[in-house]
Amino acid sequence: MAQKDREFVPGTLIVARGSTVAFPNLDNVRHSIYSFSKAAKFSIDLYGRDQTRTQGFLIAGTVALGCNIHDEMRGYIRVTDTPFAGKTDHNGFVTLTSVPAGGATVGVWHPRLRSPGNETSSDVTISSGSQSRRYKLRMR
Amino acid sequence: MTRAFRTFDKLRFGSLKLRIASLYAGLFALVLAVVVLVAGNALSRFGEASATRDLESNARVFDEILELRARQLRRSSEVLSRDFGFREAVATNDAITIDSALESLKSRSDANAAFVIGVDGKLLASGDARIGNPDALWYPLDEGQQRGIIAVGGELALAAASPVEVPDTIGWLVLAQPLDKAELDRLAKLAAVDVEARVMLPAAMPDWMLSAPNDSVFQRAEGQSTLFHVSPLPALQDDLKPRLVLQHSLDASLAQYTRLQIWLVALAIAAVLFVIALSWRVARTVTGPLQKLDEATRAISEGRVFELKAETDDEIGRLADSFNKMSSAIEDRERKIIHVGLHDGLTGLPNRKLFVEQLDQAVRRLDDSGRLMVVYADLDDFKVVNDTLGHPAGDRLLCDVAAHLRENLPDALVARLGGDEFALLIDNLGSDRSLAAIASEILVCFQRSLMIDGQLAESSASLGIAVAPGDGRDGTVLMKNADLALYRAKSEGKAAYHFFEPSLDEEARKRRQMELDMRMALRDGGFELYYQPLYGAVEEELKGFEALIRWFHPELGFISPAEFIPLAEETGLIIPIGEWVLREACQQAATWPGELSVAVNISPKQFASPGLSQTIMQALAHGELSPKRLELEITESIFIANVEKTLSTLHSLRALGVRIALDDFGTGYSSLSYLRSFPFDKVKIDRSFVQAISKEVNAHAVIRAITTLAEALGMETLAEGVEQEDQLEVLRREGCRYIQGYLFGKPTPAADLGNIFGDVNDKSKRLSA
Ligand SMILES: [Cu+2]
Repeated sequence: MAQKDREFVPGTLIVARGSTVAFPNLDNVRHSIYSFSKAAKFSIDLYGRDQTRTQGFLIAGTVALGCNIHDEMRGYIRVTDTPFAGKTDHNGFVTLTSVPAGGATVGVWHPRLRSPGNETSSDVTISSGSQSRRYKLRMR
Repeated sequence: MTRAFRTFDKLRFGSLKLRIASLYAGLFALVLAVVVLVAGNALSRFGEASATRDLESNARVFDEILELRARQLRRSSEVLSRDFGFREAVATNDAITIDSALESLKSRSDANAAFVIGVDGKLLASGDARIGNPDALWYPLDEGQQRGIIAVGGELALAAASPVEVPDTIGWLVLAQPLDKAELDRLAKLAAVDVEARVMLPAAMPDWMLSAPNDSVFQRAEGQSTLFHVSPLPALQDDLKPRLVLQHSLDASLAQYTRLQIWLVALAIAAVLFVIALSWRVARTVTGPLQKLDEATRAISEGRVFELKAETDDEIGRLADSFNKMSSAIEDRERKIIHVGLHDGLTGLPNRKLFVEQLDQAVRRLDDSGRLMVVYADLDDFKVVNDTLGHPAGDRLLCDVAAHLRENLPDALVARLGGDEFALLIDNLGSDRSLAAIASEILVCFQRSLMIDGQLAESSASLGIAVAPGDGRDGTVLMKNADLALYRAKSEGKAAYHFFEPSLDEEARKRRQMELDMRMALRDGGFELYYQPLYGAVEEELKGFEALIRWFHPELGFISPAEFIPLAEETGLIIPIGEWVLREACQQAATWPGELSVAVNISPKQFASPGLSQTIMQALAHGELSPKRLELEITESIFIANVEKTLSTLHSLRALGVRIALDDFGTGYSSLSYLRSFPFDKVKIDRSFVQAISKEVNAHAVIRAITTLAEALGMETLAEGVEQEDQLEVLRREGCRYIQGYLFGKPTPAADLGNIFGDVNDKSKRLSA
């Protein structure tokens, strides 16, 4: 997840538990990275252009990243322990493939979702074949 | 308004001054009261309006102050909420660190409550603040509201919130400052006017406040008038609907205007008092002169002389001037009236009233050695002058006499008592002066002759004189005595004076008694008629009788007609006496045989009385006597007065058919012209001529002249007082037709006449034989 034009790019990143994410600084200014999320509490001191820091995420959950000196910079990393996860496109569509049939829980997360933990979940029964579900979300 | 004035006019003030003063002062006070009322009202209104305006602007100021406060709070909270360490503590839920940070923030920022609410609505840290219902805060906070009212420990507080972001918002740091009374009072002090501010919840608000419109000023009177302004405040807690209530005591703000109004009223009262004093002064300048005029009028009505001073040349001055003129005119007229009242209008001499006054004074002043003379004067025969020459001539004669008296008797007070009567008062007579000489002098003064319209009028007077103190020490007595003396002078013949003697008093008393006795005699039949025969010399027979009155007084016996007839003439009793004589004579004559006539004397006064003809007709009718048997005897004196009137009376008597004889011919005023002027039936030759026959040689000639004249005029003649044979002889020879006298018979009572009828005829026969 890069830092470019004072933004985390991409703003949201989905990684599997145990992954390590690199944070290259592509800006001219220096950035720091911190997180007080339960899934990953860490703090990386300011580092400059063309430098990269890395961080491993061992606990599944949502990690909100901020830069200590640029309040408006936000980045989110979702650490999952399931392979069936995906980020929607700009139109809100995501396609999960190879999901085994049977009972499952679908969770929807969005940084501005108006719900505790910014996430809602519902139990679904997955049948074979392609299915499509539609979730209506209240945003902040 | 008109009626108000009329009502004012009806008020009784008793003083014009008071009336003018109260009218003007009253009007002024009325106008001033209206002005003060209007001005006071306007002041109140202005005070209210400006208080309202002030409160409105105060409300805006309050909003701004609260906003400012909240911003400050927020800045304070923001400092902490952005602190990395604090954020970390919040994110890691490090309560101890958070509390310590909050504690230091509170002390730094004058806030009394600081706490953190998590994004899940849970209270993460509250320090010691007692937040009742954090959930209620969550929604506004989540909506992004940064400022508002919250409740802390049951108290309302102003709060500001800032998010704690890591970088997502995990909660809000809320910093609150209490909005208790002390704090609000502190804020209120910043306001321009004295306001009381409260932040209230609807539950604590009365209904009228709840229903009042927001953000506008309204007035409410509860004991005292108060202005209210209610505006909603933003709440940071969704179960709160706080209101900012500003109130301002209108009475207090109007108090300063009230002071102004009191000043205004005081000023008005002072002005009214001033006007009262002024109009009192003005009224006094009007009524002062009126009062003086009133005083002057009273003085004049009391007979005092009073001169008003004309101090100014305005209406008042002119009034004083006119008043003085009127006053002097009244005085003049009064003098004239007094003069007229005390003086005779014709001659200008003092009148009786003034004379009596002066006489009384003179008598009082009389000392022991002094004497004083009162003269009563009566013009002789003045009536004749009036009757013959007319009243204007008489008046001129009176004036002439008056002027002459005044001129010639400068020491005497001359007065005219009325008619032809004068009175003189001569004072300061020494004991040496001859009273008789003075009397003569006065007598001469009355003797005037005056040509009036070509005719000579002559005057003389009779004087009666009384002298004080001998004849009386009192004016009234003196005048009475002078009058008595005058009476005597008149009766003794005219153009003479007579001094008072005490015997005159007695005579006067006797006259009065005799008058009374005559009245009684007339009533009680005390008079009697005697009849004296009239004898026809040619026919030698009885022709008739002359009726003669006789009076036998019950006490005094026989009283001569010469004594009582003049008094009867004087008192007017002659009229009823004459009437009685006529009736009695006619009645008696009717009983006589044949054509015997009766002759009755008619006195001058009786002749002049208007009822004579009537009386004669009644007497004839009563006695059933033929008029030709009645003969009226009149004297020449009736011609002295108005000749024309006398003649007309004679003719009217003649028309009755009675005969008329002229009595006492040849005496007194005898004038042949009288004989020519009226055809008398008979002329009676006075006894003096008859008595002269025996003594005087030419008596025969006189008698013959009379008889010849009478015969020529167709009148019969009768001789009176024939007592002797030789007289009868002469008379008969000289042609006298009738004889009367003792020779033929005395006056005889009616009862004895029967004998005479025969006797007389016998005697005449005997004489003629
Ligand atoms: Cu940065």
